[in-house]
Amino acid sequence: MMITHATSSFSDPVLVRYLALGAVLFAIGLVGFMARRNMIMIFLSTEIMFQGVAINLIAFSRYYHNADGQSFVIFLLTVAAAEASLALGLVVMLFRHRQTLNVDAWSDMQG
Amino acid sequence: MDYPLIIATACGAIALYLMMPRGQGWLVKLGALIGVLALASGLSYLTHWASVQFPAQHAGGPGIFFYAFALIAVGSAVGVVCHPKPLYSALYFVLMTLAIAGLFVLLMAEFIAVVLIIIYAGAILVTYVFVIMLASSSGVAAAAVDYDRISADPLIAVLVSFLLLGTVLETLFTHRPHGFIAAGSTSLAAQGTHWLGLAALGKNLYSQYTLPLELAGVLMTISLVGAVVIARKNAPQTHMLGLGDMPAE
Amino acid sequence: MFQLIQQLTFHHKAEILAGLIPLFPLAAMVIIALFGGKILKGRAHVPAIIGIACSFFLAILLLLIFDVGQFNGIKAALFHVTAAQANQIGALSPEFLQMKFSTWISAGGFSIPFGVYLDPLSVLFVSFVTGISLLIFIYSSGYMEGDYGYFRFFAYLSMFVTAMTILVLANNFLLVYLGWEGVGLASYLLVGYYYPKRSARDAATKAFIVNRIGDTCFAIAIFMIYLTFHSLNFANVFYGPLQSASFRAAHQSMMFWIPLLLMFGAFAKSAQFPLHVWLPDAMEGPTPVSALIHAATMVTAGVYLIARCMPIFMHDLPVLHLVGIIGTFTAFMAATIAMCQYDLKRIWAYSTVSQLGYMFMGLGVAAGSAAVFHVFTHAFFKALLFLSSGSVMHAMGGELDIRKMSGLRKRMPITTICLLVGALSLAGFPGWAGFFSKDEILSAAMNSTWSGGPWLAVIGLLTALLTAYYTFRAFFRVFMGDLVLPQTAGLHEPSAFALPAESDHDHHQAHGADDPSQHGHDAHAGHGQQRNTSFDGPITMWGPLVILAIGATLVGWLGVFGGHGDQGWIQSFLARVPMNSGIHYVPTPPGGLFLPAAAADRLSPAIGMSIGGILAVAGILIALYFHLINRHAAEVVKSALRPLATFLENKWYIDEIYHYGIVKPLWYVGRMLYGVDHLVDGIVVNFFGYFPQFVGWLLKPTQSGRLRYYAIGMVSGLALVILGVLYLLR
Repeated sequence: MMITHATSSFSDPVLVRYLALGAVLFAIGLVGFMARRNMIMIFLSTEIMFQGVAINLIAFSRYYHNADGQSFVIFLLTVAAAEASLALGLVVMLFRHRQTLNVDAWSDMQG
Repeated sequence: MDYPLIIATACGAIALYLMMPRGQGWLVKLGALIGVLALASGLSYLTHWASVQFPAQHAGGPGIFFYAFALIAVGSAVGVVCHPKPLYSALYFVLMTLAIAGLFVLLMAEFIAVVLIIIYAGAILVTYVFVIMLASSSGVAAAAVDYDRISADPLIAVLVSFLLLGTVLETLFTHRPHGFIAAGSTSLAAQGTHWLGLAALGKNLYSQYTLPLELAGVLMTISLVGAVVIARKNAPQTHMLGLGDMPAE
Repeated sequence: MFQLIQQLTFHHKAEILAGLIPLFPLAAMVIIALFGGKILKGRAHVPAIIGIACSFFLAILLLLIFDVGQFNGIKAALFHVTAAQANQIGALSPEFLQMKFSTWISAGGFSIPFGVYLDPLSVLFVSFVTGISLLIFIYSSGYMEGDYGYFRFFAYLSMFVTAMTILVLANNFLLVYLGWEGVGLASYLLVGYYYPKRSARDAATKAFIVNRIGDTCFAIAIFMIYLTFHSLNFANVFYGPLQSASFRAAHQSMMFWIPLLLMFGAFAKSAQFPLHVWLPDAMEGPTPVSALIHAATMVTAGVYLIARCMPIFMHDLPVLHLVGIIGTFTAFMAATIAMCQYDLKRIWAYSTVSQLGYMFMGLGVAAGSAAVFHVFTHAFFKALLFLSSGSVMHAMGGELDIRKMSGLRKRMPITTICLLVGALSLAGFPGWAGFFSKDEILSAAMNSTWSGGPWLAVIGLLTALLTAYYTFRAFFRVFMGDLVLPQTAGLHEPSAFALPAESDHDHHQAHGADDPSQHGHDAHAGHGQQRNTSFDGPITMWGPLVILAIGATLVGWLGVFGGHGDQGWIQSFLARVPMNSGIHYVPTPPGGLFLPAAAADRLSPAIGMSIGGILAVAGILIALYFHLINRHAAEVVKSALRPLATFLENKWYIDEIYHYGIVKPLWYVGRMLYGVDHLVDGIVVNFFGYFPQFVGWLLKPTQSGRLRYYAIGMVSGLALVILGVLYLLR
């Protein structure tokens, strides 16, 4: 076996474990997204999903020895930050309108 | 699909279902118990699976740190989703972020780990906490409001989510497409073992992804402006069309 | 850079100057549009006036460059050359100059440049367009002050001037079309400027739709020109294969349809008989707009187009004669309508239609120079008339009914004098602008070798009598006699943008004054202190009036003095443009196009002038009797001729004919088709329509508007797809 250093210990089963962890986090975030009724909580759940995806990307980056995955995570963080700022602004605005964070209060916004 | 995996996933689903906020404390405890069970069975399945599928590499497991961080991450993620008070959820989220940063360090992405802590734990979460304080009239001390205390349709949510999770895990563990890991092994071998450092990330960002990087900057600016516009309390009723009186039909 | 400029020939400099002319108003428009609402506000006229002034200056330079040795002293001083060189500048100019600045459209072999085409015609047009525009911009800054959307007004005006200068400077038909549509759009926007008023909106729509008919004809003509000549450049079209008889024979039908369609395009823009209906309604726009667009400049675009395309028209005499006939008919018809209108602006609107008819009469007998001369003088005196009427309207609080006012000379001395000058010009009183130019056209028609020409001239002379009458009817009614002011006098013109409460107030005030005899009395009682002030308005309003009045007095003499030989300046200036056949028009002989006829055959100009002058004076005297000395007699005559008066008051019922002849039948056809459609709908389409409706009814509950159900649907769908791929497609 060529790879003998500590870095080489990142093998297929390890990758799969990271991917599984990412999937679990994503699923938990999804549950939160669907089941919570507080708009802030919904956004927080999407952040969990983001992190699950980030784990996948970093793990692949490590696995393929390629910085692309890390670059993607940088962009992912950018988008998450932008989304958080806008989404929270919207939440505040919506809260001002109806004095509630309940997402179902806005179900009349269907197209 | 392997039965242990199904059982572990199902246990996880039941645990999460029980722990969703619905205003009954003992169910949460039961759910936590089942969740621990699910995690344990999952871990044992992992060990078993690795020894069966990759007998040669069995020695090179991920190590105790992975399991520790992974447990913290999953546990606190469940905490985020299940805690009826948004503020506690946010704090759990910080914990999760820290654990994931730890995992990133294990994956030799120190820079990303630091950035994650700074951006998520530092910036985004602070914003969340601000908004939570701002938007909920009650705050920390008061009892959670109704829509926080009782979740909506937890059963369907859990079922659908864990259906997706099961599908993904199935793909990972049993129906792995072939090229995915074999090719990776060879490429890893070919590239040697040098440490993929910050320099490589920087080079990658500023050569291959220059334009997206600039666009990301633009996106940030736009969202900044957008956030300001959205958050302004009194949007001006503009007299943009001209001077004098507004027209009257 | 400077050396480079030095090295350019004069003609290159001229071309570059010409290319800059549309850019200044364009820049002004952009600046006003971007910064007008927030920064400029009440100062929005500043960039517009600066931009148009720059363009005007450049246009004057061009005029000097093209001038044939009349202004050598000015040229020598301005261009730093000796007097001898200055003399050369004009004389050496080729028939036209053209320059391509950049490519607008390029597709395969088809290429349309942005370029200028300079010849005396375009230079004369661009200089009077920019000059009149400058004055009207200044006037508008006073007239429109404080109106809602002040900056919008100036942005539109600048846009109009941009488009108009593009129209007259373009070197190809498509670029002309760009300007053509641009002025149409600007006209639409400006007529509908008071958009809360329904009548303004309707008028704008009407103007746009009627113009569309002409624009479509023009567009088809452009397609045909490209098919025939394989180019749209003026130089290639006019000086290319058109000159060869065999080419013309090969494209006989095209040589008929192209001028015919161009004619309809010109008629719509210039409000000639079948398509004139939009122009009087366009008076719903602010008065400076009426003056600039609907009297002085835009409506002459049709004259420009036909004058420019005269080489094509020369090869199809029936169409050219049709231009003359319709023009003459329009002149007569509009003059008769103007006799029985009571709204001051409408009178001038119909007189514009009538005067445009004269121009087309001139074109129809191939007297392009005379027609363009009339365009030139008409721009001055019609702008003057409109702006003076605008001052009246401003002072009278928006009232323009000539029955409700009288004797205004006592309150508005400057306006009275200016309007008198304009009226004298329009009536063709000897010595004023309209006299000379109208006479040019009439004598050209009289001397035409085409047998119809003299008939046109006779109708034209009759129309001249009517013109003098209706012009002075308005003048005597409004400005002479006892002072009578409408109730609204002295108030600010009720803005169309006024709040409802405010307009109710105005309405209420005007309401108590139904009886005209009480007006003066009531007005004195109600607004005593306001009555003592002069109504002439600020200097920005009467200043341009005075300048235009001086212009209207003087420009006519350009047709008498200042040219070569016994010609006037304008004739020698325009002599190089191929749109004349001298005074005599001779049908095209095989050898050449433009044969001046022998001088011996000509009717002496002096006789023509004296006939025109006598008729003008006669018209004025008739008006004097009926509308100043014995106003009661006018009523008697009118009641004696009741059916005729009604016919004229209703504008020959042309709007009604259109309504019942075209609009209604189309509406019924539409109804019928709708019925058929309904039948098809009911049986066939609805069957297919109900099916999706049913499906939609089934799926409606899924569109609850609750985010989580959408997410659930999405995720479960995703999971199912993955499972399907894993288990079914392996």
